[in-house]
Amino acid sequence: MKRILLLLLCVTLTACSQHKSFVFLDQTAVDQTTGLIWAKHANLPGKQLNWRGDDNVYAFVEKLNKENYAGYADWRVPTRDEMEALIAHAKSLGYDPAKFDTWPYQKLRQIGFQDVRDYDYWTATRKSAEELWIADLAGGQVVPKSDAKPYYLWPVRGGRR
Amino acid sequence: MKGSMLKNGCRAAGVMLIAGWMAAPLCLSGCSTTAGTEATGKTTWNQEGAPELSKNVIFNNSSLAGNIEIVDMKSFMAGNMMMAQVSIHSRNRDTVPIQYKFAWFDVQGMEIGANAGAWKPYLVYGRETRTIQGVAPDPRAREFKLKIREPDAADN
Repeated sequence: MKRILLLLLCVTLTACSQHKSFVFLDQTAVDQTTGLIWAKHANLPGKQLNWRGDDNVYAFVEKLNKENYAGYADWRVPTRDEMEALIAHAKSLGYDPAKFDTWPYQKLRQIGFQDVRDYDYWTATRKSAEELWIADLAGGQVVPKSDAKPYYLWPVRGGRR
Repeated sequence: MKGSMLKNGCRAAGVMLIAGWMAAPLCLSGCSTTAGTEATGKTTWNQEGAPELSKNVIFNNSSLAGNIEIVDMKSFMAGNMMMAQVSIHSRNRDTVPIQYKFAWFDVQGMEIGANAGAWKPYLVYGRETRTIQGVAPDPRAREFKLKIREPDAADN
């Protein structure tokens, strides 16, 4: 009996750790596992942004914080680990490379995020002087890419950096 | 034999002298820059994507360099217009009259409204630090150059 209870506990814990639970609010989504708060809209700028230059990622995040978007003034670009965890969560919901509707961006849309793009997203983690880790929400890879190209921005706040 | 070598040597020296004399004005005009001081500030973006001002000061006039020192340069955006502020300090105990003008460049380094601005007279009193400010004439400006010269320099 004890063994069965222990097994059940293990199964429950494993299931809980695999499946983050998000609480969706008006403008944000709270990851209850990590405490991270993501913007519910995954394409707030409405376009891809450059890392350097006018109207860049830095300027957009600064603008969000000045405007106290969703009541917070500490929005930032997610780290590589945070993006990888988000993609891992999306894949854990059932990923089959042969089926478009199971790709990370689709799964994230299905659970409640808005306008998640099937393209590359910025992370704040630098690989080299010219490259940052970029998260592809279509295929679900996070790889180093040139910081001279524009990508989408999905702001996040809170959690541990 | 010796005489002809001497003759050839003299001829070669003469040719070199004439060539040097002819080339001197060309070299002088080619090498010369604005007689005065140029303080350049350019907007660049660091690894975090934050804008920064990269600064550079060139002195082409030793007497002005002895009298005037660039002590600070700043730029910021007022709305969508670039503003520049340069602080200059007089090393001289007497008043130093100068003239200045701003030139503005876009992100590609192309000058905006080339030669549009006029030289403005300015007095820097002895041992004084003064601030010169300028506003870009165009929202494309991302780089400025403050040119300073002595009042008796020829107009550009």
